[in-house]
Order: sequence, then C-alpha cells, then structure tokens
Amino acid sequence: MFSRNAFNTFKQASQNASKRFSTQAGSAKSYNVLMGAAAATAVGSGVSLYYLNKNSAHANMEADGLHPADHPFPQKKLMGTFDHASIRRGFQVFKEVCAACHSMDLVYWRNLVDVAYTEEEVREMAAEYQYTDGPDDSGDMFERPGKLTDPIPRPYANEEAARAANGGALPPDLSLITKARHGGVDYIYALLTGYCDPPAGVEVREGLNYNPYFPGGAIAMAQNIFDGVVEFEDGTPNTASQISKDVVTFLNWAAEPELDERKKIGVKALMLFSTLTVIALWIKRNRWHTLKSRKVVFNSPKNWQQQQQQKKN
Amino acid sequence: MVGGFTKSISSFTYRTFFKKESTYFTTVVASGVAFSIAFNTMFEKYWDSKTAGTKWVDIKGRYIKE
Repeated sequence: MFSRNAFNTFKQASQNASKRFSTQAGSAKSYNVLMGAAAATAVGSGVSLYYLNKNSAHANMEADGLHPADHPFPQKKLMGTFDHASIRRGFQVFKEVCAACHSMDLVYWRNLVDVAYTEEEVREMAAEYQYTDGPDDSGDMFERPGKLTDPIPRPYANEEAARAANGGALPPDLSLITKARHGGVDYIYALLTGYCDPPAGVEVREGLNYNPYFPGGAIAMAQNIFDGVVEFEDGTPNTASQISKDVVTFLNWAAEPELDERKKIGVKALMLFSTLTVIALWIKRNRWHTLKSRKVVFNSPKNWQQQQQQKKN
Repeated sequence: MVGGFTKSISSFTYRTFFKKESTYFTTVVASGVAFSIAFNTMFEKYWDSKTAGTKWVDIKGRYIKE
C-alpha cells in the first residue's frame, strides 16, 4: 500500500525527469553531442582510473614485486619468432644449471628434434639418463637408457622429496613458467639477473634470498646464474645476462612451442581477413545503394479527391 | 547462334563464367585453388626472408654429422 504509493511517485518523477532531459524537436545535433559527452566521460574516467590505480604508490608495493623492464626478446613482437640458436643454448643452460632442482615434465626429448637439435643429438642426450621402465617378464622394474619418447628427467621423484631437499620450498615445474607468471619472459629474466643486497632495514630470514622482482621480496632460490657458469659450444660470450637471455628463450619455447607457426598463420589471417572485410563492406554497399538512395513519397488522402478530378480532366 | 550481347570484357566474363551456376561454381573453386597456391608461395618466400637465420633449418647445417 505504501510501496504502491512510492512506486507511483517514482514513476511520475522519472517521467517528469525524462521530459525535462529529452531534447527538443529538431535537435539531433544536441542529442549526438550529449551522447558523445557521455561516452567520452565514461571512457575518459575508465582510462584515468586505470592508470591512476596502476601508477599509484602504496605501502605494500613489495608484495607486488618490482615491475620488470621491457626487454627486446624477438619473439615478443607482433610478427616476431624464436631465435632457435638461442633455444639450443638455453636448453644447455637448463640441463647444466636448472635441471638439478627444476622438473620439466611436459617436455619430451622428441620435442627438441628439429627445433634445437638433430635427432641423433637428442638420442645421444636422452641415452645419458637412466629411466625406470615397466615390469619385465618376471615382474620387476628395470633401468634402461633414455629414448626419444621419454620426458626430460625429473630431479626429484615427488614434491615431498623436492621440498625436503630445498628447505621446504618447491622448485616449480618450468614447462609453462613463462605463461604462468605475470610479466612472462621479462619477469623471468629480471628475476634471474635481479639478485642484490636487500635495502637498509629490510630483513630476509635465514634460507631465503632477496630479489626485488619476486612478489614479497624473499625468494627461496639463490642466485645460480653468474658469468661463465656455462660454456657455449658456438662461442657466444657467456655473460650472466647472455646465459639468462638464452635460458629464458628456451623456457618461452617450452611453454609456447607453437609460437613460430602461430605467428606465421596469424599474419596470413590478418592479411586475408582485412582484405575480405573491405571487399565484403564494398559488396554490401553496392547491393544496398538502390534501396538506400530511393525516395519514398507519402500521398496524403487529402490529395486523393483532387487527383481523381485531375485525372478526369 | 548466340543472342544479342554487349561486346565488353565484363559481359564476356559474365556470359562464360557467371551466368550458369555450374560454371560459376567451377570458377570460384578454381580461382580459390589458384589464389591459395599463389598466395601461400609468395607468403612463404616473404616469411622465410623475414626470419632468415633464426629458424632451425638455417642453423642445422652446423650440427649434421656426415
């Protein structure tokens, strides 16, 4: 009863308001101006609020991690692809430095063939490792050298073993790490090269290491990449930044092996679809121009009697 | 004997290829195949020149054992 009264009052008020705010007859221009102003306000405020939020400083920025710089990895560009020599060096770095703690379960030896190594090279590398294989005829498991169909070997049998060997921290699987971390390749590269002393007043507990790029600032992994930890067979200077760049490129390939093909197809698709769109728009306007340019005239009934008389005459 | 027609290229094209549905369909498919072959070949050449030196095929020569 009271709600119905309120509802009717509200209905009256909104009708009055719309009458007041509706544009007068013949002012399509002012309507467009109003709409444009509303849209500009919405877009402008949205963009401003986004950047204000993004660039603001707050007391807990350490929790987000320092934003990594933008590095010119060739595969980051719109039409850029991998440098496969870099992938090869990166796998060498992974094998010699990272594989001691990190697994890469989703990459198999066969994935490396014709990407960074020849088939013979991969067979040789896989055979260096021993894998446990299915029960033999007497029901026992046995060890055999690796084949192309085997995954890159795990350093630890399970998560518990990994945590026990690393002070409670689990070294994450690196198969998808560049896709799994905000910041991608830039973040991983900055992380690997970003170890430094904590600033004055910042305490890092025993067992952790300070890294400004890691959210929270304290990472369990110590710095592992220094100048000269790996010797490259193709003679590339083995500075820490070069080693990091190559291993990050390899990790990016492991996460996105389809990148080369995807970029190629993507460029083709962009070219073809834009052309077809232009053609389609032209055809549509061509087929419609007759209708859009016709003139419709209303013959008011007032004129019918006059026209009848004119016809008789 | 063919009926009266305009002597122009567009009219010729229409009569030979577009008038009958069977010939129209064949034209569409044939030009699709031709465009596909031509576009893919040209694009591949362009793409290979753009990515020269970075692909596996470019560096594999160093690692093949005879």
